[in-house]
Amino acid sequence: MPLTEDRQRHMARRDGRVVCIVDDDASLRRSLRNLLMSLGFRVETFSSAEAFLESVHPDGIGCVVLDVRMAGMSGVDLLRHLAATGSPVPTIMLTAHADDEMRRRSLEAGALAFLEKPVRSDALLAAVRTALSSA
Amino acid sequence: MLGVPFCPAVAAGRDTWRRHVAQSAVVRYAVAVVAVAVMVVLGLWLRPIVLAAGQLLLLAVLVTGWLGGLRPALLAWGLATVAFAYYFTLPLDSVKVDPGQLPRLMIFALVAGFMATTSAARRRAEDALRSARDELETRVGERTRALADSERRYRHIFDSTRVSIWEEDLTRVKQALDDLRARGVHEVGDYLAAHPEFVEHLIARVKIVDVNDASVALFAASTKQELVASLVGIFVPETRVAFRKAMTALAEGRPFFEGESVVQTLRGQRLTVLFTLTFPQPPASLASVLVTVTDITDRKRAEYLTGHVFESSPDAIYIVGRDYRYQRVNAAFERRWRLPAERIVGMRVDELAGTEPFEATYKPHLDRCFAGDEASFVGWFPTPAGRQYLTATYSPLRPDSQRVEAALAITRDLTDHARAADALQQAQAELAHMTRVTTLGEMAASIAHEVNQPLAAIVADANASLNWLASATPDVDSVREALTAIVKDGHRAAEVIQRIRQLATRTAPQKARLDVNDVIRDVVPLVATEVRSHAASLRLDLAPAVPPVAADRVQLQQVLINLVMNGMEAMTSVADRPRELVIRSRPHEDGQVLLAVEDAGVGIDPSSVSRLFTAFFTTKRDGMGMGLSISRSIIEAHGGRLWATSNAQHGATFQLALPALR
Repeated sequence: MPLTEDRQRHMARRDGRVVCIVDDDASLRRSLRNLLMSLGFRVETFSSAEAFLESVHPDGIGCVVLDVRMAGMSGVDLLRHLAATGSPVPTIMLTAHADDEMRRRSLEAGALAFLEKPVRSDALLAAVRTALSSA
Repeated sequence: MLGVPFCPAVAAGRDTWRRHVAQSAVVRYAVAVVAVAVMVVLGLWLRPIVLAAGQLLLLAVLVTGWLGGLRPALLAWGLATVAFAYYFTLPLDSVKVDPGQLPRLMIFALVAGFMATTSAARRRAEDALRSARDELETRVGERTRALADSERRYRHIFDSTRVSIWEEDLTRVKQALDDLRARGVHEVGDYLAAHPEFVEHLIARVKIVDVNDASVALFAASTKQELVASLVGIFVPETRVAFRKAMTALAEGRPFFEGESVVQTLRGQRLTVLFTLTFPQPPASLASVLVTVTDITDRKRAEYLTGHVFESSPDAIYIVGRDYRYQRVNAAFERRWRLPAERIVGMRVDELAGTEPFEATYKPHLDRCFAGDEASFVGWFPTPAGRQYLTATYSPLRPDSQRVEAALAITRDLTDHARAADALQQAQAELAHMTRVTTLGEMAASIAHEVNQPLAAIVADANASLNWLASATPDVDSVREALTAIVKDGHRAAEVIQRIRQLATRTAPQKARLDVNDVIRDVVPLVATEVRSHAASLRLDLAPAVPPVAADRVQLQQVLINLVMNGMEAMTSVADRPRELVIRSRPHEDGQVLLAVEDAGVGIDPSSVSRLFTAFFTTKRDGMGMGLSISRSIIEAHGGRLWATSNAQHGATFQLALPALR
């Protein structure tokens, strides 16, 4: 595994595009950044959908890891907003409490993946790689 | 005037005139002169016919003696003798008297003198007699007036007294009783008891002479006559017994009889009465026997009711003297202690109720009562029927003096109530627990989120650490940082689970010293996700220092969660303003602490304000209607209040006030 991990990290670095994490929980933001950075990705974090929209131009990012339920604008709302403004970004949805309705709505809105917290490391990695390669 | 014929009216007039004459000396003497003069004129007129006409002068003396008394009569005698000698003895019309005429003159003088004295004496005697008669008449008049007064007074008493008085003629009754004795019956009482027909015979021989107005009123008669005519009408069987006893007293010669009995009015209403008969003693007749009748129906009824209340009260009632001994106990008290009253009366309280309860409870309260205060207590006490939950009230009894002589105790067995109250409390606790669990169920998504968040962070941090450690140059600092975060998030997850477990576990309420600000802060993480999912915000406005309260932490949390959840529900449909929920804490009036949950929701419909806290009242489609009801019970069990008010602009504020610890 370490060899594989190293290779992946190398590939990620090589890719060089940013993974954005949008979550209103500080612990989650910090730990997800740790995880993705330990895998060699470039990571930026945002505490709300609004903060993400304000500070980032969607064109410059590789993909978004987005919490479904947040105060203010929710994950799904952000997804729909990006789609509506003609700048879809490959998005991975994360939720602490999954239900089918939420999964359906998220995938309809254009999410690439819908993962439950606590998220498995390899599942997240696979999703992020897929997202980056689709971009 | 002397020729006036005798008739009573004229006699009376003459009497008056004669009294007038008698009063004046001048008139009396004048009578003598006039009478003699008149007779002289009359005599002279008759003298040519009959010389004896001079003897008319005797009449003048007689009249003067009768009208004027002795002295004028003597004057008339002198004048008449002189006039006789002058006009009617020979020689006529001369002072000289023939010697042959002297005997005639002397006889005239003697007869005239005799008539003067006799007439005057007769007059005096008659006057004395008359004055004696007058005096007698006056006395008789006075006596008659006195008797009339007395009669009037008696009548007044008889008629105006409020006591019913009957005047009865028992002469024929006595006669019948005497006949009975004459027939050899000596035990009249026994005889009457054995011969009711004879009693009826006696009743028939009673003659009612009179009854007073009070009697008419008491027996509901319309007139005296109606009552007088209907003695039997007021009799009921008890009256016959009393009558029999009274007749026995009469037969035995007793002067007085008193008894209690029942009679009926002429309208058939039964009366309890006290009656007396006063029998005049021989030789006075029994024609007027006074019977008094006093209505004691109300007094009897009051006595009966008092006794009845005491005896048949389901509460145990007893009287304890200053020596702590029972003086009187009722039937309920006998039942409680399973002893007859005769055994209990005279016992000391501690002998019956036990030394420990006596010293700890009964005695201190009895002492307070003996000092003049009302005293009451409630508690569990051992009795032969098992432990009973008794409430007791002691009232001071002061029969005559200011000093309390005994305590009146009224005690009620509330064992069943106490058990029911315990069961109710138990049921309420279970219900409160159920609603807590229900609330937790409703919050399941939020709770999962709360727990999953730190777990997700832990997993991500752990994976990151593994990755770092696997690299050729392990980033130890990052690993240490991540591990620290893992520990923190682990605790965070544990805390959430801990709080949920507290809410879900059923424990007896345990009051502890609490800072309400801490309780509010504990609740925030539990509801945070719910707040977020309702796209609402929660703001805390806590007073920096509030006095501590004594409360059960979990129950208080439950109430707060309930109020917050309600507030958010109320804001679900709000789109035109921020959905903000504010929790406040403040020191409150009268040493209380105030907690308020203010929402910006739809507010409270005025029609439902009064039912808001009623069980099973809900405005939610799927609400159980127990939340606010249970919240209020919880707060009231803490000695506090929970109420709702509408906000000035939007929404409602639910406030609760709890007594602060001193």
